[in-house]
Amino acid sequence: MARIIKVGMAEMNVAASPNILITSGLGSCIGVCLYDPVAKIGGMAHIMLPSSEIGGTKDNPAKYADTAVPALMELMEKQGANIRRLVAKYAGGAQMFSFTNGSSFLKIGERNAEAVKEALEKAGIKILASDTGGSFGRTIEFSTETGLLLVRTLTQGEKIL
Amino acid sequence: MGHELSSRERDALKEIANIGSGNAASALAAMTDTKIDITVPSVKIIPFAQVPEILGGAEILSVGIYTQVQVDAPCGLLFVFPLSSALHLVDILLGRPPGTTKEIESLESSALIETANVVGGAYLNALSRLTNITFVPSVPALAIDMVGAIFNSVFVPASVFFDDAIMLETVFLGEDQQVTGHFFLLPQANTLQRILEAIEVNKP
Repeated sequence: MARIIKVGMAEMNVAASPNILITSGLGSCIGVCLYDPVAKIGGMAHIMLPSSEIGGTKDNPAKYADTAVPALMELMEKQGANIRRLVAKYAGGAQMFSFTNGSSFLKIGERNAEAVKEALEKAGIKILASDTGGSFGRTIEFSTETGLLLVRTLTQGEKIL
Repeated sequence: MGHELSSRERDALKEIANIGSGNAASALAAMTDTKIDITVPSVKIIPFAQVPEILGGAEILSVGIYTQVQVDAPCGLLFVFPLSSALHLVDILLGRPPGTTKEIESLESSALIETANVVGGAYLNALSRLTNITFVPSVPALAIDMVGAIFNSVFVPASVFFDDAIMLETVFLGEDQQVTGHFFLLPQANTLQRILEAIEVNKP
């Protein structure tokens, strides 16, 4: 029986097959999933902001795209994953509200998506799939048994990455 | 980086909310030509990670109306209602019999945005009078989706500075129905500190 492991805002977690990692209600945040397909170990981070440089505190690496990727890799390696085999999928980065004056901070979803891509490329991790942008929330479920990422929405149906 | 409000600070914020909601109720009643009362039974400081659970779970279909406040003391104002409550609120605002409104279309959306504008504006005026801080709110924007997605999107700019949200439970009372929503004040930069310092100096 697969166990369901929840990952909250600005949190990360690692699980082994057949367990499922879930994060609910992603808006501008992004759920980043890393996977070692041989060891069948998966990790998920729920990042909120692109860069730890803009933050006042750096106490929580899972909160920022640039620090979450290396921190998640380290955590997965400790649990037996081979970081050279890691592949990535991610989803989120929506813009829930639109303002006529184009207020810039609400474009944070787009900046998060760019920062996740950059952080993964910097770490040399291959990106298999992503689903970002739009103006709708997402809940994601990552199966460590199959490496498939289910993306659910309330308004746009669901898809499997 | 958590911040505990003292009971006096909480009382002051509640007092501001009560003055603001009284003014907002008069303005709304005049605008809609119906009897509307607004009360604020509680003011709480809540770590952001717990907010989706308090609102019934991250995936609950909800209506969020967000206003960004610029210039002197940047902050965000967010009203959140479960969809069913938002539909009831529209009934009250538009003087419809309870249960009439089934969907949020452009008229309903305008009514909710205008309400957020009036109520948010009244809170800011009350806060401004006490603190002498100038608040310049944007026109609010509306989203209907998962409450977790709505909340975390607008919370993000505040989370750089502060890991808590100030939540005012807000009850709208019509003639024959009542609707409970949640109103969040999300201070950005050093806004909360400025508000609390001003409250310290100018007790309500």
